[in-house]
Amino acid sequence: MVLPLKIAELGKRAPRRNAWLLEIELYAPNSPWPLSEGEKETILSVFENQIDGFLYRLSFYERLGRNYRFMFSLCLVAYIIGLFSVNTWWFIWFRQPYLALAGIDNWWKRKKVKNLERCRKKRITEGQDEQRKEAINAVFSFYTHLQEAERDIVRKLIAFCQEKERENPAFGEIRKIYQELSAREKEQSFLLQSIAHTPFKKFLRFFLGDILLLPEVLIPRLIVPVRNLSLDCGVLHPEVSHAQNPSL
Amino acid sequence: MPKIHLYKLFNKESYTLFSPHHPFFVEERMIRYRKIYQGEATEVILQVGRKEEVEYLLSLPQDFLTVTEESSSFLLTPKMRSQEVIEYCKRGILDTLYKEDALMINDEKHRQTFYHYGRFRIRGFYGILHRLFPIVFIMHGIPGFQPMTWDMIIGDPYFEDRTYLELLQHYQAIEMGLAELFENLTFRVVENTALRVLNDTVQEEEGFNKTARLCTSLGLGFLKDFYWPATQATEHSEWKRFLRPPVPLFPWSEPKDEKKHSL
Repeated sequence: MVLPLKIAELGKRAPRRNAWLLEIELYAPNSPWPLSEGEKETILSVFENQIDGFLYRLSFYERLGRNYRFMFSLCLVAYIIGLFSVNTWWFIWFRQPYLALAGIDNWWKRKKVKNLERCRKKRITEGQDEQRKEAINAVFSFYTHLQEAERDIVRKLIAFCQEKERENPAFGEIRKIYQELSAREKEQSFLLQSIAHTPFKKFLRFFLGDILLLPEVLIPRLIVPVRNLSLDCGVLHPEVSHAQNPSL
Repeated sequence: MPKIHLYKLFNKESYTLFSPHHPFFVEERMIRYRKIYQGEATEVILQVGRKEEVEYLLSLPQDFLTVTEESSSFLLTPKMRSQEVIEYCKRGILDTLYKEDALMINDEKHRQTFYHYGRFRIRGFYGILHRLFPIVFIMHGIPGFQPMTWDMIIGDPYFEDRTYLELLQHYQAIEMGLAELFENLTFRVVENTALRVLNDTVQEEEGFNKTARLCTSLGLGFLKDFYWPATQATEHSEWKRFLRPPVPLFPWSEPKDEKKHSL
């Protein structure tokens, strides 16, 4: 399951009030075993963890970054005095000029999502929009017929949504979601992105590590795994033939 | 609203409560405690397979808990004066969640502050003042260096101390949040279809094997670690084919004369 808005867009749409409620509308295809309340709560909690974790990391590093940038202000005073007191003033730039930009990328990211920090409660409800319901049911039935092929599923789903987009704009929303999913499949995992494991990254980290000071806060994609709705929960006889779970 | 999820899982002979969290990434828990420190109420959500499993909650004495029945869940609110309930919860969770979290938060605090602790300490023989003061005299003939030197002697330790204090305050808030975990509490019981399937499957033949494999497709992938070790230890699994009886180097016969053997 994917939240159709990226976290920056979510921050942009958030009200500026001091305390507000974030209500997530859940659209699931019709199935004999619909998502129960506990599962909805689980979905909500995963989204909550992703959003809050991002905000937490930003605010934590911003506390340090703000201090480092402020540290530069005193340097600047020294530079200005040096500028007037000597003719050869250029050497003063040998002293920590990078402090002026410490954590500036995190500051910019935080500026965009800062309104989300004031959200006091999050709730998940059933969506009532008929167009969206219809679209998601159509996509689900298309998917269930696709399963035999098991190749390029996401690409086929995107093509299917593109075809129907003119009739129903809800298909466009679903298409964007699948594009997000395929983008996520191509990129490296969150953990791998944050670790310097390639020679180039190692080189950068070794020489710029002291200069950059603060780690980059990675932007999460708001995606949650949910129950496979085509599974029949009434009579369930799972396959025991795998040597291990295929997801491993 | 900070939440603690508890899952009622069938394990071996009876049910057990399981709270999924990452064993060594403590960030999620720190967020929870910081929110509690900021004054938000804790919500404990108990996920059960069937609602009938917890219907006895309705017959609890009303002077301790208020139980409200909603569409497919119960909402339990401890009464303001029922200190017994709070104490009961605290005692129940002290040896599991509380101690582990307190330890990990403390560890994380020391990890983060290690680099900044006394980095530019002012006092002492190895302090910044003693180390850098000579350059005030060395740079005497070069006036352009003077402001920079004073910045290094006074500015750097000041801002480094501020960084250190900010980190300490941050972790102090989290620790206080952990202490206030049960001050303001609501408890909710919700029904979970996927959990019901898991609890039913685990009681079948080779149940732990099947359940460990089912978790991901049921959207409860984080429960796999709960079932997987149990599978390895106790059940017949595909790994058992590596456990074969030893091949003897030469044939031997069991001692048939028991009397002789016992002597």
